[in-house]
Amino acid sequence: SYLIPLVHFIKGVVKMRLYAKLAAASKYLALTGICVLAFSVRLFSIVKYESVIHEFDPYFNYRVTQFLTKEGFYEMWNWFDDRTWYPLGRVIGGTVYPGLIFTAGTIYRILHFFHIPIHVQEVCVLTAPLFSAFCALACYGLVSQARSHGAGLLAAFFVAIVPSYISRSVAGSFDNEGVAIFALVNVFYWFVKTVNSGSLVDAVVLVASYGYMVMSWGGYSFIINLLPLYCLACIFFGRLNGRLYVAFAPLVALGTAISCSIPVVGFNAVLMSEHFGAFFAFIVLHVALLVSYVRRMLSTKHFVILASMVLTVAIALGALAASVVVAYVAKSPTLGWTGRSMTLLDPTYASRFVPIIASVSEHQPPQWSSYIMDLHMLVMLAPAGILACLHRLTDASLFLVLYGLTAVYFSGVMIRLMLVLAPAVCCLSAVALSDLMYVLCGSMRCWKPRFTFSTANDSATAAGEGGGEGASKAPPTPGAAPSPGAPSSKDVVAPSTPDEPTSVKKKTRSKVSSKAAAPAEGSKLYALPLLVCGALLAMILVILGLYVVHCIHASADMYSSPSIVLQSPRRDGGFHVFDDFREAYAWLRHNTHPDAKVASWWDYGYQTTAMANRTVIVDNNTWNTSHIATVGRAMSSSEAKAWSIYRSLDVEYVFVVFGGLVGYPSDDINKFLWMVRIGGGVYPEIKEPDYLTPEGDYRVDARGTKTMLNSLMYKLSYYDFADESQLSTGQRGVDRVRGYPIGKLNVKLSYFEEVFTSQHWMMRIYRVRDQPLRDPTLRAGKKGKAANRR
Amino acid sequence: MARQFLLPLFLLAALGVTSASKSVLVLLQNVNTADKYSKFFGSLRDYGFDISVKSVKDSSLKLKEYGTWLYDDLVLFAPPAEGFGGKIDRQVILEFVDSGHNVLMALNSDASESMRNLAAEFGIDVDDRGSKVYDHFSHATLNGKEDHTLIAGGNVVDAPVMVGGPYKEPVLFRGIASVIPGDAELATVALGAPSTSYSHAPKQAMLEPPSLMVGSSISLVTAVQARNNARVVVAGSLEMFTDDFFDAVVTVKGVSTHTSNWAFTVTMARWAFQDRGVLVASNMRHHLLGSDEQPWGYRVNDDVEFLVDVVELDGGVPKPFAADDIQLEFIMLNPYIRQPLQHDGNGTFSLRFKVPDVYGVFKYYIDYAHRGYSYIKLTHQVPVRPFKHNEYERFLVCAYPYYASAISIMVGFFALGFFYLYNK
Repeated sequence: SYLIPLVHFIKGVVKMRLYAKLAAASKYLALTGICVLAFSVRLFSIVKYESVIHEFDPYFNYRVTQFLTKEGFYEMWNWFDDRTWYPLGRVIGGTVYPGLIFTAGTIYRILHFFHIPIHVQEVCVLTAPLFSAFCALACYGLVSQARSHGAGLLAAFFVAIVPSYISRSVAGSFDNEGVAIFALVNVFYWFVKTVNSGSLVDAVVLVASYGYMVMSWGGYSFIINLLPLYCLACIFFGRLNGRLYVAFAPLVALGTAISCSIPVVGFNAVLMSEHFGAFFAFIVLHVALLVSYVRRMLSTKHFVILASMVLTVAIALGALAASVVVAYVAKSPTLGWTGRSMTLLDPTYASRFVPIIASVSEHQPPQWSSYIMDLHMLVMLAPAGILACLHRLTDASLFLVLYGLTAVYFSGVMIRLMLVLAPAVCCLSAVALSDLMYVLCGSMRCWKPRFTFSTANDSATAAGEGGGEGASKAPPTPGAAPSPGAPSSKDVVAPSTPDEPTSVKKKTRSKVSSKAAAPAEGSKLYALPLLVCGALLAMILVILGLYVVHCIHASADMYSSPSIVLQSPRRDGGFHVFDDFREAYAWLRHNTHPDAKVASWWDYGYQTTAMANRTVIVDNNTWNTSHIATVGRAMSSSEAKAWSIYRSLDVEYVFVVFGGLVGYPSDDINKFLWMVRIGGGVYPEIKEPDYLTPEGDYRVDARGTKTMLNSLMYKLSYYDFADESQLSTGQRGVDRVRGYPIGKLNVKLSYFEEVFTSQHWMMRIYRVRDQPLRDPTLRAGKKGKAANRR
Repeated sequence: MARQFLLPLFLLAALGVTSASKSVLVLLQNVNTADKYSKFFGSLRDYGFDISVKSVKDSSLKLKEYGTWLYDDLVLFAPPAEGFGGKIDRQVILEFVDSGHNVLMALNSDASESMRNLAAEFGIDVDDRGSKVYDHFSHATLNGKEDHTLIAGGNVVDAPVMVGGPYKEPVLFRGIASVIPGDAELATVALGAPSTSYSHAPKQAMLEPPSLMVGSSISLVTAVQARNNARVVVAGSLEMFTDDFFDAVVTVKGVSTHTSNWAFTVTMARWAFQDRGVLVASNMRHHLLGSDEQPWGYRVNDDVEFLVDVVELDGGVPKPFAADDIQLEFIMLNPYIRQPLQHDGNGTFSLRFKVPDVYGVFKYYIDYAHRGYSYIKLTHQVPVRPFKHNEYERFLVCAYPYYASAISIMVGFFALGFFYLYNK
């Protein structure tokens, strides 16, 4: 007979296990689904175009990855590349963030270890989609640490298809951001986890994931500033505890050591101002802990005496130290900050001082519409998420709030940093939406009487437990009761938080209790009408559906273009494909000497080295401004001068990208003012007003200035253009991008010769003529027959 | 028999010696006047040139057949010719030069417009038709007849490889003046006019203000070496190549003397036909000291040696070249090293140096342009890489305090931890 309770017990256990397993299984199923979704939604570029590397920077990463898989780790680490930045060369190993390359190389190795013969290009193409799936998992982890597993699932779902992130991680977009956003969220996840758990093991994983982040992207400086900020905020709000110390102190100490040993960061990790915040917070954290320790040890009276003594000395010493630091920092014109960081702190900085940074389109501030485009309804939900986080402030939700707020600021400065904002917005939105749905679902459950009773007990215990932990928990006090007609229903109910225990011991208990407690936190009295709940839930579903539709549309139609192959719709419904870039690069690869030097504007440097396999003068790694300025100067100068500049750089071929015939707007003529500005920044003889009409317009028609119409860029772009435009469009000399006839139809070249022009004239390659074999005198030159310059 | 003959020929050919069969086309205004230059041509034949003389109006003239040049060198002894017969025109002659062949032109006061234009293509401005070079001080008296246009005091350039000499006897000249631009890179005055001379067309009215070619700015014989080492010589006087001038005994300033015309013109012609003063640089190589292999590139601060073999072809025979002024540059944007090469007497030029402490894509660069010799222009690209990660010193003496501090803090931490954990 005594077996019966045992049997019941076992039955109960089995039943519970089953439920738990079912719940876990559905969670994992959902996560798997989200991962598959994240991966597959990024494959439109392969389906619509082909499996190619996109854009500019990915070509460099691809080339280095190829080198890595061929030559091995150490060769790549020490790679001195003599085919870029001629004649300066580039130390690849020391100037590249190697995370992405190592990642792709490792995947390649693993696949080949299992004899899966996949080409390295396919690995590179698919790395970003793969890591966006990982990023969804990391977001899940972060939000489930901060709020609940449901919110985590929502966050994972949001981030999996958020267009802003898709834009930089479609298949083929083999850029640092592809893995760095995952790494970023991953660091946050482990940080929050460590703050919640206080476990040293987690802290070690945190340091490792921070190391991976530093290796992957320059954006790590966001982390190393955000975490100290969070740390200071915790101290300020009185949330200081040992767990925070365990999370933060090893990160600063070991993280700095790790970043120092990555060549591209090196001593910057201790010298540049970007990292001062971390050290400062490190010191403050220790002081704060020391103060609280001393306060515990001493009586209040003694403590006051000691504090006043120490404060006097500390202020004196602090002033001294501060003056030393200020003196050191003030020595540098940018106050020790790198140009890009200065741009973030002072958005007008780049446009005034660093035209190279300002010239990059992704460094421009975004338009407001791009927030809607890239984040869709998350823009509306995120502020609600901030409120929801603040309403029931925990260590983790405070972190989410800080992350969201700083990311909003940075995204406003640079469109590129929308990427950093995207996960934050997804997490905050998920918190908001899940709170909302908790309320709605809870209300709906209240109308089912058989659940009400059984869960009410649990809710009481959970609330009691939560109330004991601190004021921040926002227990269901009468103050939380809804005023009549209060619109924001989520204020009514405060679902308990599963994962914010002060210690490991408490964690399990609160988890168990919260699961049961959550749906019926509010009683029948506070519950919303069933109809309202149903309508709101339906509305949420519709909005989510719209979000999905929007994201799929963005991925399919806007962000999948590889930008080296262009499409334009034809009248008959088909597509016209412009494959001029690859055509021209292939021409260079097959028709020029392997050691020939090719000059172009720096945008095309990476593509030239990767696709044409020729030495370039400047490329997208804009580390040497004066070298870029030299090329800009040549493009802005007259033909003869440009010739001697190119000759002095041993350049044999020059190409320009020209869109005037087919109407491709991002061509070199439209970029030309940046060349003038950058060239003029180093060589004062190039003056921007010389290229603008007296009214200050930039035009290449008859009103364009003489300097403009005589510049090499104009000549190389419009050489023979008049005849061709007459043939193809019937309008002689009408540029289809600018929309007006060009200023000088009859362009003569004597120092350069055209050697190749692609099918749609999008790429025009010229050869720099050799020095003439003979020097005819003026008499011969006058006769006009002697321009022999072969 | 044929074998015995062929073998040395092959050897010669292998050495790059082609003068044995160098063919020269001579175009005269009138073929019948060829005898006037018999000594000049005879000497050239003695040097192994295969000379064919044709009239400038010959309708079968051609320089090129089926894409092959028929001649190595061209002599234009037809100053008044307005055009050429057959398939020769100015463009063909320019092409001829641009493909590395040589031209010897002689003009006189009757030089036609087309000849002047041709000279202009090589960077030489010839004075107007009908003008002559006069000198009322350094002229010669020939056969008792004093002639102020018979210049005898010309300055032969100090470049023995080009013009021979030094000459004690004067080089007689009667003809037209020409000038080269002051900044000419390729043209050299081989025979300059005396400082007291001037150029004037007696039948034309003097320009007002007078713009004359005067004094030593006048070039009587101009040598041009194009950038492809093709050579062009433009002499303002056709007569200076004649037997009459070779054998003349003239009186200059009361002193009776023979002329140097024979030696001067033949040397000049041999130079023009690349029979003299041809330098061939070959076998450029470089290696790290203590290794014979030619590396892909260097590391900063490596000690390296650069070597190149230079031979001088004289009459087609290679002999080691010796000069102290061949400079080697090691350039990346700017020359980091610029030093004269040392030669060992056997034609091997070398330099040992330390690679600068700067990484980048360097190039070896030799640009040797010594008057009279063909140009040597060599470039060779060598990347210089920085230290690899494992090429730095593992432990630095100056860093011992830091090692000590790191180790001491580790020991201290361990001790403190041990004490804290187990001392209760």
